[in-house]
Amino acid sequence: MKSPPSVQRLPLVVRLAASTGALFLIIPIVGLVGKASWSSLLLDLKNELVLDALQISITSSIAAALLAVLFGTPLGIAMARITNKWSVVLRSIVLLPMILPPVVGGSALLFALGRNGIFGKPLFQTTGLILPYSWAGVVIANLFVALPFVVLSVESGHRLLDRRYELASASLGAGANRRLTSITLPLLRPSILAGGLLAWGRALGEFGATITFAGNMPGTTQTLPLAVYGALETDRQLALAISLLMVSLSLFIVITMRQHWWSHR
Amino acid sequence: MAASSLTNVFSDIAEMFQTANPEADVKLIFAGSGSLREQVIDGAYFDIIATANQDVMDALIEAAEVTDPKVFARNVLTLVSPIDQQPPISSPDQLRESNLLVGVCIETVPCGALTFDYLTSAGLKPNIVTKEQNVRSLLTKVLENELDAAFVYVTDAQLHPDKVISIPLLPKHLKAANYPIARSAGSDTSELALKFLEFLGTDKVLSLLISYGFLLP
Amino acid sequence: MIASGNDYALEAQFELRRGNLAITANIRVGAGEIVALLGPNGAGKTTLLECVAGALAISNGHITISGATVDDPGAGIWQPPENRQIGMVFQDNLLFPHMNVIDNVAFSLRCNGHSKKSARRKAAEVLLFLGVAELERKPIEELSGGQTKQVAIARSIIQEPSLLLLDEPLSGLDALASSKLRAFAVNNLKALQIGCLLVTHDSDFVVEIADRVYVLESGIVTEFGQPDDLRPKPNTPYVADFAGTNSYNGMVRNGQLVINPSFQLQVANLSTVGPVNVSINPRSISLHRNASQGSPRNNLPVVIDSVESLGDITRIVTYEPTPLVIDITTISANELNVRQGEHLWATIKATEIDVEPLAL
Repeated sequence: MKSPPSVQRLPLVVRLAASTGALFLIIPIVGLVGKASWSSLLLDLKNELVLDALQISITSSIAAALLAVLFGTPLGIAMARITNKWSVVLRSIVLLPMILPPVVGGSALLFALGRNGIFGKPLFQTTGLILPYSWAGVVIANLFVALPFVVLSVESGHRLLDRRYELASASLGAGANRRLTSITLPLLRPSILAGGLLAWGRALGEFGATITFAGNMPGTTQTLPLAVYGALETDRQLALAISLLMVSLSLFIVITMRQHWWSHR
Repeated sequence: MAASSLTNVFSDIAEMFQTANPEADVKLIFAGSGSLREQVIDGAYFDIIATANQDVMDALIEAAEVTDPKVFARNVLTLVSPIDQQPPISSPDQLRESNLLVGVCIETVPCGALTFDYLTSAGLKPNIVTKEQNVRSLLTKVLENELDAAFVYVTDAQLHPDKVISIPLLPKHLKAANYPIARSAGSDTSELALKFLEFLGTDKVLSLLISYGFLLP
Repeated sequence: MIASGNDYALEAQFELRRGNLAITANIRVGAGEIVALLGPNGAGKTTLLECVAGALAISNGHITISGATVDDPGAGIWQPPENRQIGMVFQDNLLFPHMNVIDNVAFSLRCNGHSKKSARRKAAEVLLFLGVAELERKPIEELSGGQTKQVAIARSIIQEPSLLLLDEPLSGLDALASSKLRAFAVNNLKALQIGCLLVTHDSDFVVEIADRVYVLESGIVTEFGQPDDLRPKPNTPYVADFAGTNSYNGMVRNGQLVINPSFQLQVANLSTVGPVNVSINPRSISLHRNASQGSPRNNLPVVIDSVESLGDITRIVTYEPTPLVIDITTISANELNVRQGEHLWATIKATEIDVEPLAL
């Protein structure tokens, strides 16, 4: 329903503040677009370094997002249902990677899963597997920062869910497994998808945890954000070109997400 | 403005200078040399700039941003390894064993460029697993035992004598890094900036540089 | 209909506490019997349904569905909802929004291992039997309120449970949808011979459909019996209100019955003194444009609050301080041409007023 224009009109102060907020977000993008030399853009991007980084970024972020959905969904559901005193502790731990500086997260991962870490050392000694400096290391760093997005999205989605749908399906004879697969998970689909997309976006932009835990090796662990960071010191045009590439990728995720939300609301 | 490998020593020098000249208010900006160059070309304000490589300084001279460059210190590479490394590394030739995890600086930063010069000259092809943007993050990984060996500046290796051992490299393969310093080409250079440059030549500062492991020009 | 032994679809003795409400109630539903559960909001009606369904546990007593005990804390028996032979229709239906009509209806068969094809075939048969076959392929969000309820009923009876629980089936429906659904329920529920426990506020629906009625107030059964038995002599003001009976608390003083200063009545053969409960059958009150003269009758000035046609009978309710429910024939109501807000006279025969001392 459309409100009359007099109701829609917001006070001047609100409109001014809103415009300032929007401008603040737009200005950096304008800066990027304005500084880029469009003629050499494609040539810059055809660079082997960029193509390698693009491939690593895409594969590792998608792998991290899928793993985040795989493990984050059950965790989110569990967190929505746990009501004892441990839920506060659990929730804080899950939220931590969202607030923690990613570099700290990367160091923590290094101390835990590095070749000399608490869990990494036995892993290395028994299997010879070294997680840092590998594609798997990039995925782990991405997963660490991206997982909370799925957990939170699923948890809040589950809280909004009418729990009586489960009672309804139980009264129709559905046991716990069928309730989960036929009722709860399908009803949570929008939250899972939104969480997965957010996780993907977060993983794609991951820098601090990756460079700290997985290092910076072109062709193996150098992702697009790491390549931008390196290029900033040597070749500004290249840095701009990679930045624009990242803006387009992020925009793609945001648009996918919006379309998804619109179609469900 | 100063290259990040100068962080510790320049902090000390600034403090000494401020004690000697209470009216001075020294503000230090540290960044990788390449990053410093880009900042200056983008119009960042500065009085004095010290870089970790001559190329960067040359670029700034060409851009007419700085004047009166002068090398005030030199630095060389060394190979570091965790102190409890088993079996211990005593010679760079051991890097030929491909199972050792070796870290270097990326080619595009001064210490990386020096490292790759050295590797070519010495004919070494170690198992490089990461090319870090700066010496500090490289050193951190050695301190955490996540790397078996890394090429860093002597000055950096000296910061942690209890945690890493430093394996000297043959000087014939090794180029030194020059640290040039210059003042802004902007119209009015302050008295204090000139005073600071003069201060760099005093015995007190020279002995400080040596204590940090720098070579004098 | 009186059932015995294992013939009960439900035989339950509830004892539990929900917040501040202590609920103690014995409820029985015979096989194929339709039992209505009435009561004001917060009396614990839905809680009882949830106990039977297995969403809540009782703290004492037992619940037996078709001879199978599903909850008996004393004997350590507890069956989860999926193991109870019940169907439940929720107040807001709770059709699964991610499935279309036929998959909602087929759901319980799928849970019991039927193939998708055979479950859908059976679901189509049920929809056909209930006369709503055209809804089969519809997504849930395209159903009207009444259709949603019909599908919810279809979904819960497809496995022919011995007991069907219905929570406020008419709530949220407009008058037309409500009357359609009443006809649907009367025709189908009676025909299916499934025991029904039904929570509702709609008195006409109860009279049309229910074999027996329990009235639950503040967690206690205050009345039970056949719907028609409740009318003449209500036990509590709630039952009176539901049945359309006038029930008041008053005082007998000097041979005069006082309900409030402007509401005093003459009563024949008044033998008690002190506080009393007064009930007046709505049909024994008549309405007039002018005060009648002469006879030993009660003449009360009243102001009309509402006029509602119930078919042959028209129900008229008047304002305080003389709140009356008056049922007159629709013919005389039309002759009188009663309108809301009008000032009229109500006449009550002294012999039609029932007075009983209040037990203190």
